[in-house]
This record gives sequence, structure tokens and C-alpha cells, in this order.
Amino acid sequence: MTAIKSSITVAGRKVAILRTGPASGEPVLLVHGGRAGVSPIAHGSHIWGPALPLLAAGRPVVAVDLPGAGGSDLGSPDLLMADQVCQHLLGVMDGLSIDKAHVIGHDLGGYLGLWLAISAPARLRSLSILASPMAPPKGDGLDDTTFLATPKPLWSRASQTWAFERVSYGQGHIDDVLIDACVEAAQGKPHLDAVAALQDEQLRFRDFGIPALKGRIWAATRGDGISIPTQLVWSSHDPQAARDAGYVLFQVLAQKQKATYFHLINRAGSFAFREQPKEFAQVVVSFLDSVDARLAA
Amino acid sequence: MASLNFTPVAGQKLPTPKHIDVKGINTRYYEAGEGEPIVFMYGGNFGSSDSASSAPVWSLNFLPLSAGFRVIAFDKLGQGFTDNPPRNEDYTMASVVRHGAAFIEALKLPPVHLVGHSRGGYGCTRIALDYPHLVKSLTIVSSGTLSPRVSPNEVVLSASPHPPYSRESARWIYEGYSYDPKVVTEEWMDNVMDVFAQPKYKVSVEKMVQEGAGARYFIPELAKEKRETLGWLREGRLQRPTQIVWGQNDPTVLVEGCFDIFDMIAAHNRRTTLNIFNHAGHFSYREHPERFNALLAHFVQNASA
Repeated sequence: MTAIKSSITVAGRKVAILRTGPASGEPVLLVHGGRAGVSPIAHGSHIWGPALPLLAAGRPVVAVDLPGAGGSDLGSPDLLMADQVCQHLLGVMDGLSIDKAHVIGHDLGGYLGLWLAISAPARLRSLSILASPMAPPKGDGLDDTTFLATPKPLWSRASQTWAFERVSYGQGHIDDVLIDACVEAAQGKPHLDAVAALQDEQLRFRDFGIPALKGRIWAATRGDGISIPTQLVWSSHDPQAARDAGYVLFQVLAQKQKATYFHLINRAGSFAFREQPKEFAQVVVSFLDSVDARLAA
Repeated sequence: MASLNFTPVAGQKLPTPKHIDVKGINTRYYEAGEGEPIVFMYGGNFGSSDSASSAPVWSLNFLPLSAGFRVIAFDKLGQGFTDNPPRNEDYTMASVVRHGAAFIEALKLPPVHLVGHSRGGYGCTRIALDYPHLVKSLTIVSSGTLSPRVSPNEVVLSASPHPPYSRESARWIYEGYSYDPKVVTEEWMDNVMDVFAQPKYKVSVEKMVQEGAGARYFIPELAKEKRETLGWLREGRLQRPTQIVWGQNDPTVLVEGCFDIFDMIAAHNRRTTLNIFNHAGHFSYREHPERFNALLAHFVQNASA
């Protein structure tokens, strides 16, 4: 099963998508991570690699490029803010005639999924948050030094390979296919636009609108909570998405949502879906199957 | 596998149980379906007059999974409808483990996917350590027995306000184990009462309590074996795909213990995953059967590939 690249236009902006899987079934929307223009890895739909066919075994899968990543126009610097990106994602779902999706978000994508689950719950069938350092409560956490000394030139092959090694348990998944795609994404106009936009210090300090939404997220989780089945998939060796933080987020969400699950995948860093794709699929696809089974029952 | 229905069907009954002689121990078991063999081992131990586990406790998993796998749920030595240990000194976990392994051998099964809950989680882990040739994968569910942390169940479930061998007492115990007391069905309690009703079950309670086999053999032997078992896990002797399933709201097993067990096994064993279910007490497989069944089916399929 090959994944087909295509694009749609949403509010005048080009959105690149990667589709695979059968035509029928409950659709899965994959939302990649990374802070476009800042992250030393140029994320995009190309990141899902070996997880795509496993996730698509029984469901149509759509992986999007977020604005400023891969082949998706940035359009406006506002599209580098989480709440705006979430609005945009709903537009993408409209454009694809997807009413409800199983949303699976990695890293920043998991944070976006969390906000979508709160702000537009009717559009989600379930939520999977994968290794997201920004989704849990931060407390007075230490600064993240994982990418303190990223080699220059930024977004070169060497630099991105180094960055993947920093956040991976094993190096086997960091192959030419991955690095070629990441270098191509980095050199594309959307990413260059994001890099240029983030030269603005004010915009940079807003950190993709993550801190601004946090208070609203916690208020919502303490109020009605999340109304859809939610799972957190963390890894044994992720220097950024710490196990404890993920488990705290699980406890927060579990207060109000019965169907909340926490999982740990062994010998993986940030990219469990690449590093241990079968164990990743075992956890994630069985979750989707059980959500669909409950809905059918 | 997408065609499997993971949801239990109301009113569906277990097949007629079978019996097999396992080294002189008449052993009751249920068997259904075809495909990769999954063997379920429940928790508890012989000699309890206020609750009694038996093979039908797996009904919500056994039946839906029988559509895609060869599922087997057996009664452990001295529990359910399996014979009691022959001698007082056989009232030990080691005997239960030996009997479990001998049961798998007696059925002439290819390497099996073991699913063990609570004391059965310890038992299955021990079978995977002692008899790896019998085991293809291991699923450990809420096992305070395997956890290196203290288990508070002797506090939480002590002093049942109901008489021994009563339905009320069993209900009180299983509701105490559960997040949602409504999951304790009449059908479940019927199975407990069937076990209580056997003269041989009362004999096992007599042996454990009045004759002191619990204090003399079971408890001290288990403490020794557990030390050995945890040491073996830390040494990396568990060498099969393993998943750990835990209830977030189990009043009898600390949730921290599942992280400890994960760390011990995962340090040496790549295919190790941890799964915590919310709104689940001790019996996550009865409180969340769809999630449990889907997870087990995918895990077994992965471990067999």
C-alpha cells in the first residue's frame, strides 16, 4: 500500500497531504510535531514512515503538513499559533469531507490534538497524544537543553541527522529516506517562510501560542474534561517527553474521562512510531479498534 | 483481525468445561476457537472463604477472542474445579506454577501466549522464566504478587462484614477490588458460589487456615520465590514479548509497581510495553473488556508474527 501525495486548498492556502489505506472506515488524521522554523528537525507528513501502513490496515489515513512545514503554505505568521492551527485543521477536515477523525498527534501535534479535543470535541472520534513534551503541565520545569548545541548550518543533512540522534533511542530509523525528506522539507518555501517569520522576536516568544492556551486547557480539564477517548503514548527513552510528565497529564485527563489510557513503549525516544513501529501499532491500533467497537456496540 | 468483535455479547455462555489429568490432578478447563493458543491464569489462591476465583472470570475475554484464537482458561491447582494439592506442603505458589506448566504440556500445546492476573500474573511470569519453551508471550495484569511494592489489599479487603462462603461476602470483596461496583455481575457471583459449594473447596480452606499450611508453607515459600523471581527479572532472564496491563484505580495494587516491573523487564527485553487503564480497578479485563481484548489480540498477533 503506497501513500499518495496530494494537496487541497484551504482558505486560499495550499495544504499538502499524504493519504493511504482503504476508502472506507473511520478516518485517522495524523498531525506531526516540531515547531516549524525553530525545531532543528524539519517535521512533516514524511515523518510517519513505517507507521503509515500499520495504521492504515483497517482505516483511511490522512497525514497533513502543518502550515510552514513540508508542502503546506504558511500564509500568515498567525498560522504559527496553536489556536489558529487548530482552526486551520478543522478547515482541512472540512476540505477532505471528514466529519470526525481519530486524531493522532506527535509532539506539538499532540498538543494541538489536546486543544482540538477541548475546543472542537464533535470533530474527534478519539485522541492519541504521542510523546508530547508540551502537552503536560510544565510546573517550574528545567529549560530544555536537548538541542543546545545544534550543529550549523541548521537543517542540513548533518544537522538534522544529529538532531534525530539526540531524541532517538536507536539510530536504525535515521535513514536516507528520512533525512532526504527532511532536507527537502527544510528547503521548501513554506519552511523558509516560517524561518523568516520567526526572526520576529515577539512572535518567537509566543512559542507557537502554547503557553497562552495552557490555562484554558487546565480550566477545561478541571471543568467538564475531555469528552472523547484519549490515550497517551510515551516512550522509555525520550529526553524531552518525560515519562513522569506524561503520567501526570494522564492523571489530569483521567479525572473526567473514563476512557483514558497511558502507555509506555520500550527502546524508543520521541519517534516510537518509527523506532518500534509494531509495538506502536499494537498499542495505537488496538485503541482505535476498541473505540470503534464500543461505538458499534 | 479487524473483523473480530471485541465487545462481549450479552447472554453468551461459556462452552461445556473439559477435564484432564495433569500428573494425577484432575484439572478443569475451558477451550474454544482456533489459532494461536492463549492461556489465561486467574488470580487469588486456595483457602479463601470470602472470595473464590475460577476460570469463568475470563468470560468477557474468552468468548470474544475465541473467534480469532484458541483460548484456554483453566482452574489452578486447588482452585475452581481442579483438585486440591495432595499434601499440605504442596500448598505453595511453586506447586501452582508446576501444575500450570504441566497443564500446558498435558494439552500438548505449541508455545502459548500466557495471560496472568494478580497471583496468576506472578505464576505466568514464573512459568515464562522456568519453562520458556512453553511460552511465546506474556501478559501480566495487575499483579501485586509480582510488584516489588507493598500490596495494601490485606487492609482494603480485610474484615468482610459478611459471613464466610456467602454471596454477600464475595460481592463485597469483588466490589472492593473494582472501580465501578456495577461490574460485579450476578453471573460472576454464581461462579463464586459454585466453587464455594464444593466440599473440596472447604477442605482447602481448612488446610490453609486451620492446619496452618498458609502460614507454614504458602506465605514464607512465596516470599522466598518472589525474591528469586525479581532477581531473575533484573538479570534479564525473561526473554519473551511482554506486556503489562494495570488499572489506575486498583485499591489493592500500587500503580507505581507497574513502572517498576516495566523497568526490570524492559531493561533487557525490547518487546515490552506498559498499558495503564483509567477507571479500572483490579479486574481491568472485566471493567474494560473491549480495550483489553483489542490490546491482547494485537499483542498476540505481533508476538506470533
